[in-house]
Formats: sequence, C-alpha cells, structure tokens
Amino acid sequence: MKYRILRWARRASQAFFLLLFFYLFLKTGFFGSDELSPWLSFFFRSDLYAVGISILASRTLAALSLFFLAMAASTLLLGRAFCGWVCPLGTLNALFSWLFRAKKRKFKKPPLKYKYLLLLIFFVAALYGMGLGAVLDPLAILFRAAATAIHPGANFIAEKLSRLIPALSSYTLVEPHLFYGALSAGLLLLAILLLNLVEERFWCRYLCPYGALLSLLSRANSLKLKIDLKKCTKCGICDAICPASATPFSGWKPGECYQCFRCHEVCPEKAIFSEFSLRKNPKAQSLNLRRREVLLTAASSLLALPLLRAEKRVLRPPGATKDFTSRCIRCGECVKGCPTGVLQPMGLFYGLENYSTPRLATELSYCEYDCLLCQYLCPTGAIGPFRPQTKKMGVARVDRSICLPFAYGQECIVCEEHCPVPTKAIKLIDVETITPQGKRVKTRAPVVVEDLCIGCGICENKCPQSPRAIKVYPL
Amino acid sequence: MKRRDFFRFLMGSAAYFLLGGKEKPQAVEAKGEDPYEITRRALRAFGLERVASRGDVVLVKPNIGWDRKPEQAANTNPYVVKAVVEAAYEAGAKKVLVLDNPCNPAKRTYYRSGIAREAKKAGAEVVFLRESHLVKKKIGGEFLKEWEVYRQALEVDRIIDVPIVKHHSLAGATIAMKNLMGIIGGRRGYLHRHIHTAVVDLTAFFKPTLYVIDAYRVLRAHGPVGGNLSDVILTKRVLVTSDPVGADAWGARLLGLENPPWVKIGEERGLGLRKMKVLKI
Repeated sequence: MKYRILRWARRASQAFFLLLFFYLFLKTGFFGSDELSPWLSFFFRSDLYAVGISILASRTLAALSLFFLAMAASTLLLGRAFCGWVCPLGTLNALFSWLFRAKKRKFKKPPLKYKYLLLLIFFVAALYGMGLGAVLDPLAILFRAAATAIHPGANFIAEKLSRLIPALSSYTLVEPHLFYGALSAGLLLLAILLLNLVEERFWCRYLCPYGALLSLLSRANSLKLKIDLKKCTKCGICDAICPASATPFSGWKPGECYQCFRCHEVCPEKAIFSEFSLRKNPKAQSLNLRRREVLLTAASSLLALPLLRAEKRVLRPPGATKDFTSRCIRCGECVKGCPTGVLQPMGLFYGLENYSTPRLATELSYCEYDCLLCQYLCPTGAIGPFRPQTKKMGVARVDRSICLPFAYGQECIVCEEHCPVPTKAIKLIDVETITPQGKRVKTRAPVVVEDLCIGCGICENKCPQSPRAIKVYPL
Repeated sequence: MKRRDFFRFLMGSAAYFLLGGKEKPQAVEAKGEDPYEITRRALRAFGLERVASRGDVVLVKPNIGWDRKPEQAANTNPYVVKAVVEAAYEAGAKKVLVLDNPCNPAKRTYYRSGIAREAKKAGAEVVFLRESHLVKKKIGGEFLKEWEVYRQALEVDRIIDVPIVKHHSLAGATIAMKNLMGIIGGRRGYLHRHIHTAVVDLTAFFKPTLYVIDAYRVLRAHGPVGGNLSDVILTKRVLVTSDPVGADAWGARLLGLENPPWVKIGEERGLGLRKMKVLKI
C-alpha cells in the first residue's frame, strides 16, 4: 500500500516535471516582455553536469547559482533520485519503455561502465577548456530536439493543415523558422528513445553522462536500500525488474539506483526497505572500472581531444563572452527564445567543438536591435549582459561589385533604410557610376561606419541583391 | 473629458453640422494634446459615413513596421489606430482588421508599438500575416506589373490607410502611399529602384477609401527606423482625407518637403490634388 502511493507519487512527479519542462519550453520567447525570469531555464541552471562542465571549462564561477547548489545538495542526500523522479528525458525513456514493453529480448547486457568513461572523456575536454560534453546532456538533448525539430515540424504541419482546418492556424508560429541542427538533434533524440526497444531505459543505464556524474556524487547517497534477509527468499525478482541495473539482490549499487521503489513494491515477501543513514556505502558498489581502462581513456582523450578544436571566429549572439565555447552548454534556450530565428545551432560541419553552439546566422535572419532576450535565457552566462547600445557582434561590409548603386547606378539604399542604429551605421555617399549601358549616373550609395555598426545583419537580410551585396563578418 | 476638450468637441460637431449634408470637407486637420481625441474629432468632422458603411469589412492599415516604442515615432500612434477602429465600428462596420507586413518581426512590432493592444481594445481583429496569405496579382502599374499581395487586402470592402509621417532617406518621406508597401509581400526592396512610381502604382491598385495621417509625432531624421528621441518632434496633428496626393503633400510639408516626386506623379496620374482645402479644427 505504502509503495503503491509512492509509485503514484513518483509518476505524478515525473508527469509534473515533464509537463513543466515543455510548458517552460513554450514560454521561452518573446511575449511582450523584454526581460525574462531566470526560472524559465531553471532546469539548465540546476543541471549539475552541464553547468559543472561550463564552470570547469571556463574556470569561472559565473554559471553558479542557487538552483545549482540546491540540486547538488539534494543529490548528495538522495542520489540519482533526479533520474527517477524529475529528469524529463528519463520520464520519456520510461514512457517509451512501457510502450515497447511487449518486446522482451534476450541479449548480452553491456557493462555499466561506458557512461563513466564518457564522463571522463568530457572531463578531460573541460580541462582543455572545451565545453563539448554538454552536447550529451539529457536535458539539452531533449530541449534542442524540441526547439529545432519537433516544434518547428509540428508548426509546419499545422500551417499546412490550417488550410483545411482554419482553427489550427492560431496554434502555428507567426514566423515559422528553419533550424540548421534539426536533423542531427532530432535523430539523436529518436535514437535514444528507440534504444528503449533493446532494454528498458537503455540510455539512462549505460550511456547518460549526467547519470554517471550523479552516480559518482551519490556515493554518499543517504537513502539506503536494505533487504531483510530473514524474509528474503532469494527469488531475484528485484534484480530482474530494476530499471536501473542497481541489483538490489546481488549487491545494491547506490550509484545506479533511481530511488524508484519499484523493487520494494514487487518483492513478494516485502523484504526490501529503505532507511536514511549517513554512513558510507559498503564497498561492493564500486564502479567496476579497471585502473587500466581509466588511464587509457584519460590518456587517449588527452591526445585526441585537441584535434577537435574548431574555428572560433564565428558570429556569436550579442553579449557572447570571449570563451564562448567553454561556457556554452548547447542547451538551445537562446535558439528557442530568439524571436527572429537568427540564433542557429551550428552543425557538425563547423567542427565538434562548435557543434550545437549558437551562431548568428545572418544569411537567414538578423538580430533585432531592441531585443534583449537571449541574455536572460542563457543559463551559464555564456551570453553575458548587454543593452541595445552595447551590442557588437560583427561588422557589415559592402561588396561594391554587386551593390546596385555602386555597380549599376540604380537607386536602392534598402540597407540604410533598415539600419536600426539610431544615428545609422550605414551612411549614404554620392557616387557617379557608369552603368553597363555606358551611361554616367549619379546615385547615393551605402558605406558602413565600422565603429557604429553592431553587426546585427538586418542589412544583409534585406539586401535585394543575390548574393547579398552587404554581409556581416566576425570582428 | 476636460472642459477644453468638451469645447473642442462642440466646435467639431458644430463644423460637422454646418458643413454636413451640403458640402463635405475635402480634408480635416485636427490639432490637440491627445492623439486619440484629435483623431476622433477629425473623423467626426470629416463624416463618419465616409469612414465605413453598414456591414463593411474594413482593413485598417497602420504603419507597424518597426520594433520601436510609440515615443520613437517609427510606427503609427496606437491611439490614432484605436480611434479609427472605433469610428469604423460606429459607422456600422461588421469587422475591422488591423495588420501590416512589418520590416521587423511582427510578434515584436505589434506589441512594442502598442497597436495590437489598442486595436484589440477597440474590438479589431489583429491579424498576423503569413506567407500562405499571399496571392500573385496583376497590379497593372507603370513599374509594378505583377506582385504578391496579401489576400486580406483584396477581400475586404474597404481599406483605411493610417500612416505616420516620417523621414525616409530614399523617398524623402514615407506617408500614406508608401505605407501601402505593408500589404504586399515578396522582396520589397526591389521597389526601391523606382520607389516613386512604385508607390503610386500601389495606391492606384489598392485605392484606399480613407487616409488618416498621424502627425502627432513626426520623425524628422534617420527614418524610417529612427530610434533617437531627439529626431522626433511633437506636431500634435492628425489629417483625415480621401485624397492620397493631398495627404502626402500635407505630410511632406511637415518635413519641409515641397512637391516630392511621388506626389507629382500621383497628381499626374489623377489620384488626387496636391492643393486641397483643409478644414482646420
């Protein structure tokens, strides 16, 4: 009875946090206010793994918050309860495992250690100043896939259907955006969900590096599982149903346990119970890592990771810090919140170190002068504070060989018209052009004042020429 | 209502009754402290029956082009829009749409301009335009032969053009005629090659029935986006007319422009008269 209540409490908690995650996701954006609450991204602000990497890689404490400290304290007390009660990707994995439950497959179970080795690789990367590891943060995987693939995809379908069902049109985006990282982000999530076909919560058991970190932290796990040996009939059913490979019967592993109480409930003898104790956990629950494996992984990461270094001179969001790739946790908050869709996750093409970090894609859109949202969404301060007047992302340059007034003597000045800098960073000069027909024409043509230009890219976006005769370049 | 406002209202009503029935004013210019009140007054003096007819679906087209606040005078004053929407309903309109194809993202400009809020308060349907709303249409102009136009502008019974008077570096000014660039789609920068002819073409095509020119605040430099409050002057005026040429000539004069090219072209094409009798109230 007690455990049935606990089961429903757990499900309620999972449902609550999953819905909260998507509710906050939908609320991430411009809805009339230029300032956003830090609570919008509290999942990421309290993300021990991603924020930990950001702190380690940038060697600053800028990303530290109360959310983070609260999460750290609760993990020390409750172990991986986060995986069983909160993590939205974990909940989705549990949900999909349940959907796929008919398929019980026999297969040789992989060892649990790979997630620890993965964590080690990303730890070494962070020592190199690379924030790479956050790519596999479970919350970031879900958020990125939702922001770049699921939400725009759903909008696209709704937009098409709204011709048949007009009521749908109010649910579609005003400006449906296109996202570069959609395919890789969507496929990664899909793969993780499909892995539940192989085994229940496969990702959480064997691969999740956040799980591995929580596992390491939860060695002081004070909520300890115990078996009353007088009642136990050694049926082993608890080992079989455990969704975490925490093996309550053949030696409980506190680092794997999600505190889901499922074994307590299924035990036919009710021999399993939990109790609080601050004593250290017995030795039987070690990670089962051989020293050689650890050293080999660390050494090869040390040697291989520098090869993943990528070009740093790219257009970044306004307020981006110098060590942007160290601080950025690839969560996709800014990408989702950007009302113009100019912030785009970088694809694999730009190198693994840059993968999924936001880039100012001026070929698609532009940064709105008065918009301040991304700084409030960034959970780690990779996008630092800025005002419209302090934005400086890049600088625009005119290509006179294709610019309409310069090259053809035609009236245009669309770039100057749209320039949002109050005193205009694009000035007009009088030029005399010889048209392709040989006529001498006087027109006004644009020149960029580099000190005034903030690199927002609206000029590039609105330029009627193709290819664009004015483009933004990194500083 | 303040006493002064009440007397103004009386004056406006008196003017309306004196002129009503026989000779309708060509244009009415109202001046005053409150943008909402002067617009209301001007519309009444001009004649509500000329705003809309019973059962009309009306498109009110303000300038909601930029992500700027009302004080920056880059968009039509929200209270002017509110007064126009209310007047259309009072005149018997069935439905009033308020929309624009802005230069900055609509979800920002609609809110930051205050127009979405005020238009909704007045009962208008605020429409966010989508690409699926575009239809290719023969414009039949001198420069614009064919262009993508928003369906709503073709489907309504009448269009009320509610621009703001602003400086524009290419055209010199953007007022009523250029404001119609907000109900077309496509790569609008193309129109800049022959901007003066293009806006006249659009006016001849859409034929708005009424022009309410917001000159409460006027952006005198660094238009059409602006941003500097020092570029904005308070002129506290609103003009109501059905003559686009006269309207633009009046607005251009506020910016110190006499007979700008598109006004001349518009007059030559017979869209209206540069010199018109303006009833000042």
